[in-house]
Amino acid sequence: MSISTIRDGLAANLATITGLRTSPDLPDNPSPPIAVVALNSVTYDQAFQQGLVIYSFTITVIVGRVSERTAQTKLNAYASTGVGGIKHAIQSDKTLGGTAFDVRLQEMTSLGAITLGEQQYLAAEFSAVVYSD
Amino acid sequence: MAKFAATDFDISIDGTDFSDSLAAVTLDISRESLDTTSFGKSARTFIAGLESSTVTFSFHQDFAADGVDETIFGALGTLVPVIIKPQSGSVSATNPTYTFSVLVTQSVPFSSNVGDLATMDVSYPVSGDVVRAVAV
Repeated sequence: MSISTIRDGLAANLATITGLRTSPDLPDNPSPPIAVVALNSVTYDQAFQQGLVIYSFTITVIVGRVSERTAQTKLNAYASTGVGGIKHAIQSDKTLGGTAFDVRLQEMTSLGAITLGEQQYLAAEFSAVVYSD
Repeated sequence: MAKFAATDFDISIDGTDFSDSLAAVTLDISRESLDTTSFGKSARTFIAGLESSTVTFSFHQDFAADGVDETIFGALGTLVPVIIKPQSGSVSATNPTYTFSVLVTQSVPFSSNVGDLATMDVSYPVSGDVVRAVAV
């Protein structure tokens, strides 16, 4: 399966969160909130005849400037499991538009400030695993 | 064929190609050993007895119509044909088929921890001979 297609599927699921943008790369001057989907690893040959490949993605969500009062509130919503959360959105279409067998958001792996350009932003990283062929 | 990575095994069970739903397969073809040791011998001696083979499958579980679960559950208690060859290409001297029947004695529809990939590991006795062929 095309990795670009899988990434597009993940981005489409993330876009179900109202107001959350998606980008293929970390922008120098982001306009938060924005989610960036990056391929982390590919594990081939998990079944005979390429029947299963496991893709691991890191989803970085830039919530807002560290100084923003609402940044922490937004982060709480993104980290929650219900509607409006990254987990709920990523798993909203578990076939990623028909390109995957299944997708699961496994964990929020880190949380903190990142510097982009001259600004510090509050960001969180999530790991997602996609089962496809 | 020389040394190779086992990525293209071709596995048919009850007429359905399950290769892309299998993570592992083990076909153990064994003959019983009959002890013929007699007095006066300094070491044990044996002759070959009956063939007694088993096959083990590690499936990725799938509840789709005609998928892993439906096929295996539906075959419980029956003999089903199995054909295994090392590659998906044509049968040849370097791509032999192993053909046999198994008695489907178990189904394990649920065997996963939360969050794990759903799998099903089963082991069946082979009923009758295992036939190795290098041509169709």
